[in-house]
Amino acid sequence: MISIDDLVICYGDLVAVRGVSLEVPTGAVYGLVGPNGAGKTSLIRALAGLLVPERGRLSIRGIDVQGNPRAVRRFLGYMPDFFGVYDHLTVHEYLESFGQLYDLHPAWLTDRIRQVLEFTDLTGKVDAEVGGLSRGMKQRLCLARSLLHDPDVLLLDEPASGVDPRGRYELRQLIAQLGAARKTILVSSHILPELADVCNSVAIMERGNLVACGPVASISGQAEPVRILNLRPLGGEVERVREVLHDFAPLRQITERGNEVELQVADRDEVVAELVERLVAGGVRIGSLTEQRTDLEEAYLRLTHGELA
Amino acid sequence: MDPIISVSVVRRELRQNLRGPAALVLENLYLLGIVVAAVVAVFAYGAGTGPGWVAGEGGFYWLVIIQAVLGVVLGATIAAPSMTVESEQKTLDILTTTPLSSTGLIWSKLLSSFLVGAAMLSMSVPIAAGVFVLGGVSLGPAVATYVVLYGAVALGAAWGLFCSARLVRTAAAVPVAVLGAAGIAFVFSGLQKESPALAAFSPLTSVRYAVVGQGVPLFMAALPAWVLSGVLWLGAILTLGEGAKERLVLPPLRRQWRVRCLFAALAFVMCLAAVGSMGAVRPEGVWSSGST
Repeated sequence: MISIDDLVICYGDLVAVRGVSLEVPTGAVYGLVGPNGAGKTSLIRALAGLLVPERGRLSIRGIDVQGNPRAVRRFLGYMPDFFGVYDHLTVHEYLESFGQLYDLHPAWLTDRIRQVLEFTDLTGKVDAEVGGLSRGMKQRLCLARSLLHDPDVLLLDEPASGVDPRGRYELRQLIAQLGAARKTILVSSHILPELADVCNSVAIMERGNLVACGPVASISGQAEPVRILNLRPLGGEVERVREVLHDFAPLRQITERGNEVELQVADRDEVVAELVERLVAGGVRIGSLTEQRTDLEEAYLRLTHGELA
Repeated sequence: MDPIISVSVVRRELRQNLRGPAALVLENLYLLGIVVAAVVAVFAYGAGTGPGWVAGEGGFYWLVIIQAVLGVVLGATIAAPSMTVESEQKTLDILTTTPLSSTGLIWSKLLSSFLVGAAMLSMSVPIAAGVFVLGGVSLGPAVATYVVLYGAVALGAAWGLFCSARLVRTAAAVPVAVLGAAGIAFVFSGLQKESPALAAFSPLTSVRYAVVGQGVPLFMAALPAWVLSGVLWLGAILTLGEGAKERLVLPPLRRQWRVRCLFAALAFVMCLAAVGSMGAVRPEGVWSSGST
């Protein structure tokens, strides 16, 4: 559905995106993760036809974005990270003016405006001036606008930026519903829990490079060369744990966290069994031993270094 | 084939420009200025002391001269921020991702700027009509004059849009457009003795012909200004169409010194022209011909 091949985007001497290739299949909700300055917005803007890349090929539904941008726009919904609105228009007028740009039939447009307002829970604001809406409402209005022409593909760039927690939750729910409706969605964010909940695949970018991409579970796996165990020795015998394990070869790292110890060991069941045996033999009384689940956030932190392009 | 004018954009622009407190203030200031100009012009030509038609004719003439200047400046002022504001307020990105073409966008902006200016000009008709009470102006020249005035608004709008498409920033586009518009009016008009052909490009000259007649058919008087307007329209469309996406997304390095130099040069030329041209636009025919 969305195909990016060897994409390079430059701003003068600054290379924002370095040879990124990515395939987003039809119906996928694909998250684009990365620190600020990683190149996410540049990539999305190039897909929306707002940037001319230095090199590479972009296509949506098999249509070349650079070669035939107007054809692509018919089935593309785009929500930028920063956007303005026409303050003196009412919500209905705002949506109506954009609907007309897509040549939507007036009767269908009226019906469609009602649908998207219901979907984004803005029905009560239909006659309100856009300038008077809160930031969260404007975000939802922008999403409503991007859905007006019922696009197959949605590009959402930091849709929840600047929105309060409730607004973020609501936007997440909306994206999840759109995903359930088989829309192909590429959504960028640096707030990982947002993406972990709604995306079935993610791509992690840093310094313009694609660090990892694939299904969420697979990405988490890529970033998990070790197993993380949280150990709580009875009697606060943290030092004793250190002594017992100081020559334990599969141990990668040991970190004290109050009365607990975080142990990073080679990711094998045998290693865990051997670790427990050694602790018991060394006289450490184990209060609890739990495995820490490595989620997307953990994967992200492991795969990136917080460097800018 | 896509329509050249997007009704949706025109309607939205009209709503944006004609709503809100700023629009109300601008409209009322404009009308107030016209009222003051009409009263001053009529009394300057001896209302209450001399023949009524002299005051009516002179008052009408100076009123429409002022309206011509205001029209061209107003058109430029309305159109100058039309593209730059879209870019600065990040609404252009969204527009660019719709099927609306660059050409459709700029023609629609041009039409809406003209319509706003024309609406304000129309609002002043009842005030201008007040001088008819004194006599001295017949219907033909009055209608011809207003046709030229609408042309002046179109010329100003085209110039303003050209500036808007070229200069990227509102802070640069508006002063350049306003000074340029005033320059178009005064500089060309000031060349009346040296080059009547060039002088004809000024709406002031066109207005003068329209009021006084002087045997020049109306379309000949107004044509040069409208030709210039057409050239600017075309220039604006080509400017925006050519590499529009690159410029809007990645504005070129802002050569501020260039803009400042242009601004200073335009201001200097305009001052010289304004001083020199006020005498030149004075129509001898209005008084010497004794037309009634």
